[in-house]
Amino acid sequence: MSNPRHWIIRGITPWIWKLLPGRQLTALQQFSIIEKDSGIQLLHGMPLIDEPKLKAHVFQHVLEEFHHGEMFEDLCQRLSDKHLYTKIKPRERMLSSDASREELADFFSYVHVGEMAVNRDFVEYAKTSLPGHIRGVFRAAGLDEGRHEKDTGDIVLDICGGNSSMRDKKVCAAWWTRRWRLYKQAMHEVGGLSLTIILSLVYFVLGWIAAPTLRRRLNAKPEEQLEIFREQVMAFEKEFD
Amino acid sequence: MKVLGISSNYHDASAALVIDGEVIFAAAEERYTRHKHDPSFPLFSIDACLRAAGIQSSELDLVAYHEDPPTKLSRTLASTLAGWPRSLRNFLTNSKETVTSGFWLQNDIARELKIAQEKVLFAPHHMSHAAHAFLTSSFDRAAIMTIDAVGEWTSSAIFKAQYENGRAIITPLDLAPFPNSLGLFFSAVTSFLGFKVNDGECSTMALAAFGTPRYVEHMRDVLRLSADGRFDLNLSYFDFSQDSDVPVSRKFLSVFGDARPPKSKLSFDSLEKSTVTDDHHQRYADVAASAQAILEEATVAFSRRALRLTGESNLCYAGGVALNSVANQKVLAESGCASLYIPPDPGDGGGAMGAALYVHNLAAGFRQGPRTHPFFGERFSSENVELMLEHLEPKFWPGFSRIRIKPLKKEQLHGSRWRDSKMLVSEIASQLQRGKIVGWFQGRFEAGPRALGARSILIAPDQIDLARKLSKQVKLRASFRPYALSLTEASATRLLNFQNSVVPAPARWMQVCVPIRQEFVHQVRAACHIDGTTRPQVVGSQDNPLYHDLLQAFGQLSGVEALLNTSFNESGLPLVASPYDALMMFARTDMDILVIEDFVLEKRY
Repeated sequence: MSNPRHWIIRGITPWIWKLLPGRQLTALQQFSIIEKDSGIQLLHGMPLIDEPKLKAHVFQHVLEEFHHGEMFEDLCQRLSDKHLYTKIKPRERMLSSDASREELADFFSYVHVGEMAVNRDFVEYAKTSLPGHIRGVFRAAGLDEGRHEKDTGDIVLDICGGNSSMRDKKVCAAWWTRRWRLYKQAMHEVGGLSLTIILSLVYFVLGWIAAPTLRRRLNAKPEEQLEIFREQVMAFEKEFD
Repeated sequence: MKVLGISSNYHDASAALVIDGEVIFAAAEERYTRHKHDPSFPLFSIDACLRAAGIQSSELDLVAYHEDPPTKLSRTLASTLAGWPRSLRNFLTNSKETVTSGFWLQNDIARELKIAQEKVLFAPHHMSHAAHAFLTSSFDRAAIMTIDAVGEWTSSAIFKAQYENGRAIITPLDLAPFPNSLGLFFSAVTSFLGFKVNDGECSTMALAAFGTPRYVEHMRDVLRLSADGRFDLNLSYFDFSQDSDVPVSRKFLSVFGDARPPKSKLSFDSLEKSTVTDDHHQRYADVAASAQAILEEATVAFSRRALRLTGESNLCYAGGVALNSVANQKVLAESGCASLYIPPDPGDGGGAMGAALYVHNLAAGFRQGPRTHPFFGERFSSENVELMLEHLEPKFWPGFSRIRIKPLKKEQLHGSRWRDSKMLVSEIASQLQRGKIVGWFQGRFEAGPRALGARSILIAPDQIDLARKLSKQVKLRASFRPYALSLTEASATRLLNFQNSVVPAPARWMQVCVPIRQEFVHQVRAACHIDGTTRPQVVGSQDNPLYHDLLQAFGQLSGVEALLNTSFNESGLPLVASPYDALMMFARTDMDILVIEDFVLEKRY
């Protein structure tokens, strides 16, 4: 357990999840989205694969990723008596529709690195002191992810024409790309936290001053609002004169 | 002139491309990301738009966004701050989203598309809806009514529109300001009934058929209607200021009882009249019926107001509430309009097309003319699926399903290509007649949430047990929700009870609910709701020729040119877009046959 992330997963996560069930649900929902998105990215890559056998292999992989996503989804449903509204994080375009073979190799290298990381994480989650039914889902998903890791590595090798040093180079580059993205994501979270603090201050100060006026604004008569709307439309249409 | 329309950041993000006044492409982002009602910036559908036209983003003249984010920000700030000091959570959720993604949108869009910032324009939300409704209709002048939850500060609006000098003039005449909103009202009731907001409104509408509107007088106090067609919400029944799952107040609960727990199963069945023993279930149905009744009354009154204020006889209608097909039927029958037009994707998903058409109209004018089809999505080939067929491993498929499906051996999966379309429809018609569940994937996919014969699942409409199997083994669908019916014009006028025996335009795209003549109910019972109505798609020979041929071929075998038609999607997922999406559903459910263009994939047990 040399990886500090794994230490956190094993040592801290079970406590946080026990104390904050909402946090647990959010995390499991994110796993569901990550797994499904991984399948969807592969779906987007499928038209670019020429080799039918490889295509069928990737299709199988997609089915598994989707199934994992649903396993986490079902777990969330069991743990909550409410509807869950998933928050989608902004996506990045991983692959263009006219991607070259080189780009396809980069794409699968990135998927491979992702599978590696997820596999390691799932193995750790499965070893935590979380309740058995939660660990069971991680264990079941982790079993497939281990195979995915190997399969995607083979796919990259295949696209690289069997050149293993080229594959290693691609995988190494993908590893750094992933680190960079994770760093950006972490910074985004930090930014989000700062924004929450600033907005909370704005809320308490501005709300105290402005709430009575705003309540009146919300009771605007249709005629008043129509005037404002007309002005908005006229201002917009004026740009075309 | 090339105008790209974009809608995002609330629900049903989408993109549409209009070139020289023609809609070239339109698609919801959910079709590509497989996340239902995906609100995120429509990266993939924008790519698909540009790909379809064979252009680069640098060639776009203008980009039209479906709403004005700064005005929206003013509303979200005002509405949440007004609830101070109890609305912190709601304020943070809304304002964080707007501050991080909405406020810088012009810059973000310009950067994403690598175009000048000046090319990105923010159209007022209800103008986008209004333009969508009018500019895709065949009317030369009309009244327009837009009703949704909220767009900027407006929830509903009335416009007058006509063409002058090669340009449509759309003038706002009246509106209902936020928070007086029919959409918010119906969504709040939907959440009270335990369904998901912005998704489960159709379930509320379906549930209403099992109830009696015994709460309608109470509902009149919740949603107050004036004699002149205006309405307002009695806010003492709601609590929109807090980020609550069910935004109703204690007063609402004291009148209508406790809210339905979301996970509890409702015991109603659209295929069978039965006595419901659980009082709570009947209460939920009665609340749904009452809310539906008052919504219908309000939309009819508002549509009459629209016709009266404009002096027009034709009515165009858009906004999320226009997806309520039962209320649409009332508008059609009782508003007094000569003709009603609703675009195929009237909700926020259609906002992208509306914004693009509106901006095109302002910048370069617009030619009046009918835009008569809803197939604006991407077309795919079946070759890739055929090529990988022999390498598929169907024995693993049951392991990837939430449903217990039959195991399948490799040799039981059979693929064939049918070059002759007549032979294809004849084969599929006979398979349908034999009780098979068929996934029908043809041509460009539909704009909007309705499956209209491009991405549909079909079965024979008289087989109730098969419809139950479809619900349990394919769609994972609640038993109280009814299925829709596709039928030819000849069958429609015979089977359905249209006013004056004329097929109205909204019946072509499943936008109204129509009673089935009693003597024919048994022939289409599987697509008939408990109240004896169906949501028809009347298919003309020019609308979708291959699908029309299939209906006719099935009619020759069964005596009725009609098929039960439901959307090609699994529960919780959007309609399929690509052949791989379709193949996934085929693999994970008990669907018997998958038809992708002229390629037929069959499970032969």
